[in-house]
Amino acid sequence: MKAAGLIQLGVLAALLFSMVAAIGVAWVYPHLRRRLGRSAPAERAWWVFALCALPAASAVGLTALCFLPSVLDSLWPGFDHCPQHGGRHPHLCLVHLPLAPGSVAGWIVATTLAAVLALRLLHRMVRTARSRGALRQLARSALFDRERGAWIVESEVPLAMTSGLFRCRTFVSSALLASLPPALVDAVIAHEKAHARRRDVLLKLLASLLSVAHLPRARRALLADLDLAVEQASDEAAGASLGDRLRVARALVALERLLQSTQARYGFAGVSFGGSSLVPRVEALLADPAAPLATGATRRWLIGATAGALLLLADPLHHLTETILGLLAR
Amino acid sequence: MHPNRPPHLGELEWIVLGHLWSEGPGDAKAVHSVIGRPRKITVNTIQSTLKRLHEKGLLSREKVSHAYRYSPRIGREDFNRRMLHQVVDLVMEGEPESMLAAFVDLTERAGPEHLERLERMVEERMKDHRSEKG
Repeated sequence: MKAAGLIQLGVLAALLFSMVAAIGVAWVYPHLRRRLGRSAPAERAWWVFALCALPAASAVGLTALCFLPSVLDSLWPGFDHCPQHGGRHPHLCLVHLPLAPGSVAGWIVATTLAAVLALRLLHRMVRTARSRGALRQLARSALFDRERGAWIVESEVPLAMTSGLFRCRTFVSSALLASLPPALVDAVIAHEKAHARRRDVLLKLLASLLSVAHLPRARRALLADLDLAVEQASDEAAGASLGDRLRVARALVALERLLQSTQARYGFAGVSFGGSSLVPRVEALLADPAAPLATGATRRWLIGATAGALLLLADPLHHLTETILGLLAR
Repeated sequence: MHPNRPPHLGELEWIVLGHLWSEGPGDAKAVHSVIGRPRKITVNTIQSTLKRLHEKGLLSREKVSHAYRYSPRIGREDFNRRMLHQVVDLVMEGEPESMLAAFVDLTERAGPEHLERLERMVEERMKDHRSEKG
C-alpha cells in the first residue's frame, strides 16, 4: 500500500516534469527556430530531435533525479533529509515511504493524464504498423537493381523514397528512371542513400513517438522542422558525394515539375499546394553551405555541464517537487 | 476490393499473382507445376491460395471442364499504382511522413509560381557555372 503511494507520487512528478518541459519548449521554440534555421541541417536535425524528446526525457530523467537523494540516503544514512521537513508534505523517498496509498484525486489525475498520453502513443503506433504493412507490400512488388543499389517499382508515378527502420530500402519508380536524365537519377539515389545511412526514418519515427506529450501546435512545428532538416541534411550529403550540390537542386526542381504534370493524371487525393519544403531546400543548395552551430568540443562541454548542473540540482529539485506535489495535494 | 486500396497479400499469394501476371491465366495444376513443386507445396495449398486471391477480387475465374481457370483482374502496373497511392494516403492521413523519407514531398506541391522562380534560379546558377568554366 505504501509503495502505491510512492508510485502515485512518481507518476505525478513525471507528468509534471513532462508538462513543464512541453510548455517551456512551446514558449522558447519560436524564438529558437530562427537561430537553428541558420545552422547546418545535420546538426539542426539533432537539436530539433532533442527538443521533440525533451518532455519524455524530462519525465524519466528528472523523476529519477528526484529519487537520487533517497538513493544516496539508503547508501549513506548521513544524507537522510526527510526528518528536516517531517510530515509537512509528501516524501519522494525510497526509504521513508508515504503512509497512505495516495489520494483518490491524485489517482484520478495521474490515471487520466497517463491514459491520454498512452492513447496518443497507441494511436501513433497503430498508424506506424499500418504504414509498415503497406511499405512491406510495396517491397514485395519491387525488383532490386544491383547496379543502382535501389528497388525498382513499376509505376507511372515518378517517385523516390526510403523506408525501413534498421534495414533501409530505397525505392525508385520506373517512371522516374524513364523521365529524368541519368545524372539527375544519380542525384536522387545519392539523396535517398544518405537517408538510409543516417537512419532518418528511425529518427523521425522516434521523434514522432517521443513527442506525444508536446502541445499540438509546437509538436507540428517541431516535426515539420525535423522533416525539413533531415531532407536538407541528405541533400547536402548527396551534393558532397557527387561533388555537385547544384545537380541535387536540379534534380529536385525537375522531379517537382514532373510530379506536378503527373498529378493531373494520377493525382493523390489530399495533396496541397504551397506548403512544400522544396523552396527552402533548393534555396539552401544554391547558397553557401551553413556553418555548424557548435563544434564537437562545445557540444561535449555543453552535455557535461548540463549533466553536472542536474546532479548539483538534484537535492533542490527533489525538495521543490515535493513542495509542489504537496501544494497540489491540498 | 477497395478502388484505391489493394488487399494485403501473403508471400505465397504474391508469388502466385506474380506468376499469373507474367505467364497469363492458368489452373491450379499448371500453377502448382511451376510454383508448388519446386517449393514442395501441395496442389491443395495452391488451390486455396488461388481461391483467396479470387475472394480478394484480384483474380477472375471460369470453369473449364472440371477445374477453375484463373486470370488476373488487374494488371501489375495498376496494382503497383494502387499500392503507391495507399502508401501516400497513409502518409497523408497523419503526420509528416514518419515511416518514409521521399525525395520530393509527396503531400505538398510547390505552387507554380514558386517552381518557376526556382527553375529560373537554377538556370541562372548553371549559366554562371558554364561561364566560369568557359
